[in-house]
Amino acid sequence: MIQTIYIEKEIIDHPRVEQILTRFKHAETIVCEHYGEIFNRKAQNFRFQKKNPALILAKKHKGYVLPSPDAYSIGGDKNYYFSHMMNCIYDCRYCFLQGMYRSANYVLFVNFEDTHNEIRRIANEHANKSCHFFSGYDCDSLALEPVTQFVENTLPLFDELTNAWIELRTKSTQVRSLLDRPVVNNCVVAFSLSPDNIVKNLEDKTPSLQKRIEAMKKLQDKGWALGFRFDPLIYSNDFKQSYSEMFQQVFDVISSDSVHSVSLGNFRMPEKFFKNMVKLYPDEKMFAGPLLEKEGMTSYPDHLEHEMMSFCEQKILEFIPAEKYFPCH
Amino acid sequence: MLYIVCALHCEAKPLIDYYKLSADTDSAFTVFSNQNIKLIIAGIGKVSTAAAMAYLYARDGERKCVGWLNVGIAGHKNLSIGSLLNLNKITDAVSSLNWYPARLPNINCKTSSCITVDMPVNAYENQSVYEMEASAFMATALRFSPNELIQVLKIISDNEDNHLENINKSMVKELVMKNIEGINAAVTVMQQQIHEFSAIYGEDELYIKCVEKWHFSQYQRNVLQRLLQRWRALTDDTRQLKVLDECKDSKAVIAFLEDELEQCIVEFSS
Repeated sequence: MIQTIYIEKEIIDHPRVEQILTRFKHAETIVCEHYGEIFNRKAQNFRFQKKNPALILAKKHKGYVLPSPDAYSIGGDKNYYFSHMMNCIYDCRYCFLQGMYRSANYVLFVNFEDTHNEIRRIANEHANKSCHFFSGYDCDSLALEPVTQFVENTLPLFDELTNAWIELRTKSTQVRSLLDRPVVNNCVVAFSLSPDNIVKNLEDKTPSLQKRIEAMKKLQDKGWALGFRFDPLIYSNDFKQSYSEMFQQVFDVISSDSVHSVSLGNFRMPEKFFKNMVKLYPDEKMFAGPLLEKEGMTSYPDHLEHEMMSFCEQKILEFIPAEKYFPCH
Repeated sequence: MLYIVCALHCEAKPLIDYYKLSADTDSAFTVFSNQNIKLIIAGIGKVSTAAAMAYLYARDGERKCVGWLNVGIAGHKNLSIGSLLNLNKITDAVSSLNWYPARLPNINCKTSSCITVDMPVNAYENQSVYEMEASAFMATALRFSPNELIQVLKIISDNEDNHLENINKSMVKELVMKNIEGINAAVTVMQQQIHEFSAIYGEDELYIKCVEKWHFSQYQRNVLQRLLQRWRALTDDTRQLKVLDECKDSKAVIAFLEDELEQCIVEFSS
């Protein structure tokens, strides 16, 4: 439950702010000049803030939509990402956000329309190409949907843009808003999945694998295109068994016909972020494992990466056709 | 360790009595302490506050994981005399810079914003608390501790009906005394938070033992610290490390730990 809400002075009368405040009548509200006063300040402890994060309501002024890293594509000609929020209600130990941000508070940018206009502009600029827009880099796309209503506000845009696709990346089971509306054909609801033992040990506050599969099944039954994101792969001595069991569990329920794309990626973290994460969690088992620094990135040794990727790839291709498989290298 | 900063002795006296703090003699600032709390009387204003805090922190050995609490009196337009407030926004009137202390969980205390001024004021322009130390307190404390371990409590001593000219020492003591339970509730929560921080980020006894026994370069110290952290995360059993006693130098200690960690299995329970 949100107990503290900071609001930028500039947007205090924004209708979306008023609407959100009605949901949190008992929260303490504090007016600030700029979200960075709270979010970017030094001498904060992400780990302790994560126990009781505040919500910061802010206005985004630039960088509404950005080009995606080259390695990430699910078949689009042009790839972009955008975030309506910074930070996530979940607490995944491998998440780069805890290494990148100083604060665990949630920042919600309420001026959705500026992002929509930029998406529209880009899609129109590349009218003859397929443009993919990824949501869920800096936050979970659906986890706070009942509060933000971002997806509800954004999907109608993709009904009108014929060359644009949107990916909603999530671990959430908050799919009611999708089930209650007509399917958007150029939308992929992409679930990040990990074996149960990884969920229990490294994905705090997230729904179980089984609950995620149940949410996917509901979406499948309604006709939504689904994505699977097995990323990052996490090493443990029994990874072959745990990943095999997960793939079986998923594809026992989800038909490959409903699958738009499957991607697979190793754990890779900018060295600086990783060092911040170790400082926050010196007692974390995953960080104590066989990780190496290579060219500014922290990752598993090459032989382990190769072993995990090739094993999982082989398993996945038992269930889905190769044209739906997109490894992240 | 919790450091409490008060401007005046009359603000501090009820706390000194309540926590049974003993005076440290022969120091530039008056400091009172027990095993878990050190209280410093800083004097009025921002410069005095910053100087006293830096003095206390350095004098106490630049400890890790310390909490900071500022307790003092303040003015407000219309809040009643004796109201206890936990500050959630502090603005320096001169620089217009803002600080936002973290929410103090599980205490039943009203919150308020605050304006730190350089000279006493009788004109309370908005619904903020007016006082003379909090901005310097925040700026200084944040050099030594994370925001989550820093709090400010103010007791209203003057308002539009009772101007600050009416304040005297015995009245201030009385106001603090009346709020001692509320202050103690905050102190208790802060001490729990400090304990949690110390458990994760405090001194590592095994590491200290190693660097006392063998000579490690600074680089080796960093390596050793991380190796010991990894060892704990993967095995949670330091008994096996008794064998370290047989190592003849720092290189042997590091080589031993690296070899042992190579053998460790990474498992996530199901």
